[in-house]
Amino acid sequence: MKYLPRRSRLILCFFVLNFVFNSLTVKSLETLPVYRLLHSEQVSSSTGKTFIRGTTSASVPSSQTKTYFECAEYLKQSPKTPTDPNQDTNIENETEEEIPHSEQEEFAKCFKGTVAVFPLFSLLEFDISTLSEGGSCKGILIVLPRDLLTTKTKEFVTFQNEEERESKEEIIKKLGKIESLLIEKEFRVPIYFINEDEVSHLFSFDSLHSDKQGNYNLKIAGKPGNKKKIKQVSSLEAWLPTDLDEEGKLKPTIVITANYDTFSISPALSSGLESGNNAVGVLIELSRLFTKLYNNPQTKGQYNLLFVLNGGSKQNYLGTKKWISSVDRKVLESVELVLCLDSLSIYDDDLVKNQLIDDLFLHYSNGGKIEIDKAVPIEFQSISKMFGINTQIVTKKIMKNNPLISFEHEIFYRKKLKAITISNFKSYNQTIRKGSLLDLQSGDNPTARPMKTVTTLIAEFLSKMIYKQQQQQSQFISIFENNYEPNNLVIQNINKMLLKYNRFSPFLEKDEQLLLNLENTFKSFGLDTKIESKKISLKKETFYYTGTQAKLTIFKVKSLLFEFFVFILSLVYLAVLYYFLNGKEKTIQEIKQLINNRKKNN
Amino acid sequence: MSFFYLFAVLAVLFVVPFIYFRISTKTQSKKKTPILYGVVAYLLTTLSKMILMATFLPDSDQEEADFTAQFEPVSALITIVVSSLDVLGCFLALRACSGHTEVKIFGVSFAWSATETILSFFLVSWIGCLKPEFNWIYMQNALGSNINLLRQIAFTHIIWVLWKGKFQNPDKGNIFIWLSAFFITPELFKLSEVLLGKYFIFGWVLLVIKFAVAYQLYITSKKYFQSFEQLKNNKKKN
Repeated sequence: MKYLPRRSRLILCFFVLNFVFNSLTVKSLETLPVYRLLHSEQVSSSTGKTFIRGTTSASVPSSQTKTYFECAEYLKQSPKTPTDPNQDTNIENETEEEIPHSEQEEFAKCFKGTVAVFPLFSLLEFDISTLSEGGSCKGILIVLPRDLLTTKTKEFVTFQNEEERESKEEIIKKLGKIESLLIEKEFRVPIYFINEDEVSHLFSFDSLHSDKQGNYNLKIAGKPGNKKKIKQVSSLEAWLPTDLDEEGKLKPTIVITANYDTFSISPALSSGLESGNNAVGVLIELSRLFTKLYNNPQTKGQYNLLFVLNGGSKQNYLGTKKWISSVDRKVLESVELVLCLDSLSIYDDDLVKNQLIDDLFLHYSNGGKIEIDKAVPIEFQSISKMFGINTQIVTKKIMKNNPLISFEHEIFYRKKLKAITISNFKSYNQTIRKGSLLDLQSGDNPTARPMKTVTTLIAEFLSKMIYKQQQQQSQFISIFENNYEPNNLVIQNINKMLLKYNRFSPFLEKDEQLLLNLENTFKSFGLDTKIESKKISLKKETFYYTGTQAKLTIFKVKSLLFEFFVFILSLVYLAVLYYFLNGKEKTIQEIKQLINNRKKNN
Repeated sequence: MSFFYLFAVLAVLFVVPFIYFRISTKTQSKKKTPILYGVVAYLLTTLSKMILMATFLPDSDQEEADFTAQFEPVSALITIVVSSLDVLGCFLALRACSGHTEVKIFGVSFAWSATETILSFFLVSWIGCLKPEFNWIYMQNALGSNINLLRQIAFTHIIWVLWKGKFQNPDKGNIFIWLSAFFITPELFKLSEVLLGKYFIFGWVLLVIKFAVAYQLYITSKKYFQSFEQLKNNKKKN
């Protein structure tokens, strides 16, 4: 610095000051991941009309943001803060405080030309379809609350009484309706979801008056994606055989099934386990335990065991239907029972002690040509009582004309196979079971539900059939202890692996890494495994669009005063530069000349 | 952003060359031909460089250039070699025009820099400054173009010394080293941009470094030019 001429030193100082000044300003650019609402098309085979569902637009041009609260203030409404499942809420009052329909259009106009930012629960109070018309808002950004993603399950389990539990279930139902609305209608504006943690420093939803931390502009560079339909569905089979009978024929077989795919109204968020996939870990652990037993000639059972993982469960159990139509006839004829594992969650050994426990439900069908031995469900019920779990038996008559499959066992029942479903859900159409935004597990808490108890229960039930044990209740001795105790770690690792993959069926390929990993897991236990992929051709084809994830760029818009200040600063820079290049004396002379000329003119 | 920012950027882009033009033409005769030759030389040189780059430069995988540019050594080497065409362009412009030495050097360097500013920065700044998001990059580019003017003046001086010295200058080894610095430093700046990170804050640090390098090049080239002029005057006297 000493060796530079004086002029250069001053110019350098100017640049340094400029740099210091700008280093104090906040970084303007931030890029965050966002997840697009489903976009599907279905062509009616009779009319040829195309039914479009979800959001058809993908990109959001650079636009200002407006939060739900800003516009609510504008309407001089005072809606409650978004309903927190932990708070005591009166559902009836909530409906009264919904924005009246007449004012909904006014409310929608408030968002014109901007990106509307809504917390998820605020959709209970406002009909989002009024924003869907083109030319209204530029896009809708729905913020998924933090609660959904971390301790959600524990939140819904840790209720003090039945009333609180019912109110939470009502909220889940309402959210289910919102989700149905989002995928049943066509929205011409892009709709994206974002996690609250990503935007909590920008938008505050904790208070009635959201603190505006500066004006924000959003831009989402989304791509409409490619059209995809379910071309094929894959099933993974793991075969654990016993010895053949004296005539060289196959002994009876027990089939245990679970599903690895899931659904979400935002396909990029299809990685949860609540809708049924938490049974995958249980099934794999059961296969490990029984492989261990069968490897010992003294404990080899009298049944073959076939462990099956199917996809396409959210498409009316497409995978299971294809599997059953393609399975070896000899194996099919030897099937004595099919045990379908649905969602088995909520149970946590730590929670069981202090909280209300959800019942398990055993579903089976009746009224047809095949009837399951009633002793089977009763046996399961009695075993579950020994583990402190109450199992309710639910029977349903199958309507042959109704193509809708409520639970997986119905498919086997229609093929004249005895089957039961074990599930945490009483009804097939419960929100989380269908696949919901609520079905999200945070990567921080993948061990929310160790399934040791349920795994032991199912293993004991199977062992009674396999080993034909007759034990009285007072003399219950569990096989699955010590060396044969189910390992929570195996189940948790399988859950962790499932959480990493997006398991939306239409987007799954036949050589999907998830299936290869599951196959390797079975093979590591020593099971004979294979993956079968079957082509699908449906009468009513539904196309889904990819491009479900995008990047949101959020930036602060500088105020007019700031830009004016920059303008003045640039003039100062030019003046200083002119002064140094022209020389001190010449510049002063010119200024004097200019002043004199002006005086003369005046 | 409002028009204030646009005017600020345009002022920095065009007023600085205007100041240089005004100061220089006070002491020199007002000849426009060097400026004209400078403009033509720049356009032809740039066109040739673009054709060569399009032919020899390999395809890049990068999508957005501004904050996520990656440094590719092969492309950098090709860019350096192709950029050496500037020597030919500048030399031909200086050779073509007539008049006093300083008038020619001023005219060519001013024209070259001003044309580059108009073609490279003007339209980008016009569109970018009117976008809703505020971005310092346009101001940084404007200041960068001022530094380019300084660099161009230094470059023209070096070319003059090499041409008129007819390679008999005892310092010619050093001069060639300094000349190569003109082509290598832009690629070094690109590499440092990638290494220093994508935070805009480093744009300002890089600008300071660019100015320091350009100023050093200017001082050195001015030194060579003055020593050459002195040598020439001594020969005339003798």
